[in-house]
Amino acid sequence: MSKIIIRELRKSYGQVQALKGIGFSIEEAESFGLLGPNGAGKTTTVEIIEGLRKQDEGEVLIDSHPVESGLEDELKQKMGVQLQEAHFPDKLKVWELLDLYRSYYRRALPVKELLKLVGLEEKAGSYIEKLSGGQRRRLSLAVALVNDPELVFLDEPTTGLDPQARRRLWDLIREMKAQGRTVLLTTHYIEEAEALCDRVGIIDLGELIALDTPDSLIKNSGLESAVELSYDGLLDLELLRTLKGVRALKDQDEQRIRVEIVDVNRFLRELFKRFDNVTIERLERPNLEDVFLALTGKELRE
Amino acid sequence: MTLRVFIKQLIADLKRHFRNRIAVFWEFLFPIVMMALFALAFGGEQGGVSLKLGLVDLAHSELSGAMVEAFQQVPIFKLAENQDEENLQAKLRAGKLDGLVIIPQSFQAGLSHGGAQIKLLIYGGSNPQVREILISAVQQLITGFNEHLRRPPIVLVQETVASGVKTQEEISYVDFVLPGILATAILATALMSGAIGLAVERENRLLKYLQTTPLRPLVFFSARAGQQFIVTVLQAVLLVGLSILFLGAKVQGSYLVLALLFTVGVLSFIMMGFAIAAFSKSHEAANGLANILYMPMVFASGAFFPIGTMPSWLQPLMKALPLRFFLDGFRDIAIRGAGLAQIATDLWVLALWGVICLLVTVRFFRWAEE
Repeated sequence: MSKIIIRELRKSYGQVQALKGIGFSIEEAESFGLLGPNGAGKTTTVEIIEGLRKQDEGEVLIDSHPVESGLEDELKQKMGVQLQEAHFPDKLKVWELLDLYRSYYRRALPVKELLKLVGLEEKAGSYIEKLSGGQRRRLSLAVALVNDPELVFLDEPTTGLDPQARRRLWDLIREMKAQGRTVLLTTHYIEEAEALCDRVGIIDLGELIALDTPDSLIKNSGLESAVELSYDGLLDLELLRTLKGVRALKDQDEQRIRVEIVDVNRFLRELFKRFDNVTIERLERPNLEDVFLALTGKELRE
Repeated sequence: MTLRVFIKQLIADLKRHFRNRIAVFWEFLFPIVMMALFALAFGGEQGGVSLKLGLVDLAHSELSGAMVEAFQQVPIFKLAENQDEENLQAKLRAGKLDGLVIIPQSFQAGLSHGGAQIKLLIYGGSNPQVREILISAVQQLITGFNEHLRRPPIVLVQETVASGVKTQEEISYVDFVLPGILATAILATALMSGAIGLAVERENRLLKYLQTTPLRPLVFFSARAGQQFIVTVLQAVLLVGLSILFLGAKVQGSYLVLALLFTVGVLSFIMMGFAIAAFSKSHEAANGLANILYMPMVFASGAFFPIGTMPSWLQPLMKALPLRFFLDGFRDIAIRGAGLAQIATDLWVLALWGVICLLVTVRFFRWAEE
């Protein structure tokens, strides 16, 4: 049974149609990503589900119960939310904040455990104002986990972080998923969606334009991969051209050639059966970015 | 459960507040420094006391004439003589005199059989220090007379005349300015910190986050109001305490009544801060709105200067602001020893303001920017 079901969500801000009828469902213990550029409608969608905004039309069901804006206490008890760029009180210490937020819930994880989960044990006694950007984001994850929630909402959890801090957070989010929580996250980082999500919904201009696992999205996109080969002696170009899935051959430097193909795995198997004088120098696979470009005709990061 | 959350929230709010050094400076240090400066600048005037005293001799005897002469020779008495009794009584009630000495017609007759009386009417609205000096000066003068007379002593009969009109000229400046400075301190907490704090938390999406938690708005706001109330109580204890200890300030009336007025007043100002936050979209707007209310209230509600000194067209406006009722009530209790009955109007007006602001908050407060 689906954990969250969303049907035909519509929302306008004045003349601007932010959501033009979005629908999808998220399974129990699934990690679901909403991918799209800024202003696509990701945050609006998530905040409607969180009960922070009210949709104009459509419905949201969590555990089969319809959600109106302003969630019921029961639901709040089992969900954890990380808002996009929320600031916590500067003048509280890390442990004090967690201790305070714990008190809001019937069931909560111990402060120590929360700090350990996000790797902030050493910062327990620090004022929040002294934390770095990455540490603040980890704290906001700890806050989202305070009540040991079944359902976790993460709105652009790593935006603005350096790559190292981002990797750390990814490990954390994988850990959350491994614990059996249902995770809904929004992102405009392709790699993030690929790394973290079981399924990805691509959203643009308030519409859901694709929804599948990252691999299927790529495979079904019909986009080409490319292999760069170097070779000893001579290469039988005619034979190479007849291999399955090959679309084009491009001479590069001496002893080097670029092959554009549709199905990489099959091509490589055949390649090594027929040739013993080739070495793979480079392999380019399409990623979600290319899928996004193909679907919308624009770059994800403007 | 709810109580535990309330206490946790309250403690967290208090910690946050007192860890903010700028707020502590404006709310505690600044008013104390101001109070000391005002006392230094204006307190000196209290040194040369002069008592405005009316004198009526209805006996017209030799002895009464001698007494009038004796009164004339006391340097601290500024005498008003040669006017009829009714006129002087009116001046006394208006607070233009501190006291009125009447030597009655029966004075001479009473001398022989021990019933000679001198009446001292005292204006109830003047500074108690002034009243004490007045009574002891007149008493001394009569005691001096009695020692020279080989007759039954002359008796001084005192009577305090209730003040019809409040005048503020006679009050010591420290007593006058204390409630004003206390009020600025309270408003800094309730209006400024309160309203701007909430607006900043809304901008930071902290309030939005709280909406996703089971924390109830009532608990959140109660804790916040509780935190502000505790801060203002500390401000009051410190400021009033130091003024009494070092600057000779006095509280004539009951501390209990004063505490009641303080509680109602402060709660009403806290609600006003909430209402400002409800009406402001940004913390800049909250800052502006708080200042628009704060400045005229502090400078024109008679916090530092009597309303009587303001231009007459401004006076009705100033009299409607809630701070004025707080100040009037405070001064009535502290300076004039007023009881609950006399400050009832002030209490009701303050409470009404508080309720209106609370309703505004409930109706218009937003937890997140749209």
